[in-house]
Amino acid sequence: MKLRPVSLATSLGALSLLCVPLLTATPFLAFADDYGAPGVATPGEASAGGPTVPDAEPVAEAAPAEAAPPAAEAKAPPEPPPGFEAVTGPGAAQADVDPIPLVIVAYLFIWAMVLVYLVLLWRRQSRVNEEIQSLAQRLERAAGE
Amino acid sequence: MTVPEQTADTPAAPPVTPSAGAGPAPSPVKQILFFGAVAAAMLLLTYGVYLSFFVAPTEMVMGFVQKIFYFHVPAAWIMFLAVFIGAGASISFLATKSDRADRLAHSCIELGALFGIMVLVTGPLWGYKAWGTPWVWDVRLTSSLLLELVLLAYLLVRAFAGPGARSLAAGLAIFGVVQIPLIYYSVDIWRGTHPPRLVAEGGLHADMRTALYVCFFGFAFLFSALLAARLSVGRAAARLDELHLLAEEADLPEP
Repeated sequence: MKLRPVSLATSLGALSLLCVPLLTATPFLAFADDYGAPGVATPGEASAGGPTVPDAEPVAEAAPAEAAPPAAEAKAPPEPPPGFEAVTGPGAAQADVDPIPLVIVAYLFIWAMVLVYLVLLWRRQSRVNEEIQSLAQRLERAAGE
Repeated sequence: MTVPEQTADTPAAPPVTPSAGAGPAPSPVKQILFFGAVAAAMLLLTYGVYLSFFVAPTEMVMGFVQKIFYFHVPAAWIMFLAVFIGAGASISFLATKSDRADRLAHSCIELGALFGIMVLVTGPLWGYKAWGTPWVWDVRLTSSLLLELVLLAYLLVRAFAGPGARSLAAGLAIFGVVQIPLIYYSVDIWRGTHPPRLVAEGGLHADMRTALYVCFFGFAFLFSALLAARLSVGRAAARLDELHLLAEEADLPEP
């Protein structure tokens, strides 16, 4: 099978894009273990598939009384490693994140992906067509001889 | 130096005239279907954005960030659809060794990987606000990541594995499709951090459901158009391979 640079570029691009959530997640992983209390139900009809662990403020109103206890009570926070300061509360750093840029980035990312894919596809098609034309001409010339 | 003549046993040689070099032009019906799919995708997705931002109510708990839902979920469904078609075509390829089935499988898996990346990037953006962290090692998230890695492995095998890559990749596609039920039902079985299947269970406001379905059909038409374009590139690449074979048989010197 021939090595195609566009395929390589596509594969590498896809792999590098995959690294984004993993790299951004890394600093939060230890914190997430404590924050992500599973099994908290979202309220029925008003919910829309959202994550089941909402922000600190609304969770007190939204979660039923018998819902899972806060993770901080269920499990003691791990000792912070030497040289780092402990976070004062779960979600303290993220509670005030403005959602608008996140939504805009998500929507733009989808269109950017479609656009990049179309450009790659168009380039691949152009290159293949050029090669076909050139090869067909050479074959025709050879057949003529 | 002559181009070898075709016999009854060999497949018909493609015409080698320069005018027909890029292969036959697509039929008018195919062109109408393609541009129809593009137009439908643009209209439905524009309408879907309007519905999701201006008609569907803001979600009570998560607020505005929940709007990501209207593209995140359809992208996931399209990824599943692409992998299903790709795996079906792979099974067909393994059974019949049909080049068309292989091209369909390759195109679908490539598009499945594309939509999978959309899912894996938009999800953490949503989770960053809703959970306070972009990623947790929840079963659904982890299994979705695993499926994406399988799809990327398929593409890498197709690009670099040499002879036999097609059968090996077909096996990977089948392995990938087996993960879909696991991903889909993981929220029921393990009750992780990811929200449950609210759409199937009916726990969705009517306006939210309308916006979601409009976006889904927009994505479906977009997928159809991209698939048609990708198949066209695949056909051209197959024709190029045939011409390379002819050139080798004719002992054509490199330019």
